[in-house]
Amino acid sequence: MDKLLKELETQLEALTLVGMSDQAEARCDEIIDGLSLKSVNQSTLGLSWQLTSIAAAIVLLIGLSSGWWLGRSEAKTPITGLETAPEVYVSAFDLINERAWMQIEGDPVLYLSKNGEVRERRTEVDIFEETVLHRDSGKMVTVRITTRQPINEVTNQF
Amino acid sequence: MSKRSQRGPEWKEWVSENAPRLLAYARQRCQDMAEAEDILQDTLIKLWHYQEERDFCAPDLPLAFSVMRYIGLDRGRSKGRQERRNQKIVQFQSGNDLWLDTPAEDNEEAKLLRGAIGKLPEKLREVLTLKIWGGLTFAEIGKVLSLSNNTAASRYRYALEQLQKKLVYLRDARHG
Repeated sequence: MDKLLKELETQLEALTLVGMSDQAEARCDEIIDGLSLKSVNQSTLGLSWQLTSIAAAIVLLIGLSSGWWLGRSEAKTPITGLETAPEVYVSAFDLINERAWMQIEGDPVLYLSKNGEVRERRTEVDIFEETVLHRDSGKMVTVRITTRQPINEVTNQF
Repeated sequence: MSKRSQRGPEWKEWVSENAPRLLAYARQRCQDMAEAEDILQDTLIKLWHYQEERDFCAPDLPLAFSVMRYIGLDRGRSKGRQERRNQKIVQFQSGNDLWLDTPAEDNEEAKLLRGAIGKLPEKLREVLTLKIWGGLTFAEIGKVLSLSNNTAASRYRYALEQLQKKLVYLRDARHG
């Protein structure tokens, strides 16, 4: 690093940081006192980590039911019949990341059908992954749902 | 007495020692110091739970910055990223809510520098803050920000170069 930038670094280091306000410091002390005294298994919602991780899956399913479609065949079917999680479960989590992608399992097989069509048979795999943070415990849960969809269709892509 | 209940004084000391640098970083992700203090408090609670597996000992700084980053991002998401960004730019440019103090000597130059830092792009300012005031290595910055060491280092260098240019410009403007 050249001399000018080194000097600049020194200048920056000379700038001091603004500290916490007295109120904030008192609040932090209160928080620490509260956390030290709280029993280990106690949670604000009264839910254990294991129980709420199950709830994370329910949260995921709510996401799915609100618009995610399975499969890519012509007859698309939305997931139905999912239960809605109670608000107390949903509000215990923050959504961190979600992603969905599709991949092909194995190699597609081309064949000539009896009526002379060239068809392709393959298995598509739809994957939906959601990561949520359990606010109370700070634990993260990643739930992945994998759905295999056999596809058999006429193709002209060789 | 449980380990948990014995950890209080250790954590208070940790907060007292590290609050300024944590606040400086939180300040990059919110609108004002009051909100930065809120982020710090939320971070403290999350860190406590993270440290359960380590007998509640006080956390190391890179972890604290990582958690703080997540909380800042999460708050930003819930408030509406664009709106916050616009407000933040105004805040940084207004200079009414300072997170850096200037030393008594060479005050004018330090004020210029503080103004220039406020005008840096967020990505550069974040790395600069973690390096200069957070005291992290490039490897640690890389982990906190999910970057490679090289990217962290090059952002830092670029931030310094940008600051240098801005300072020259501001000095020239000041002297007509």
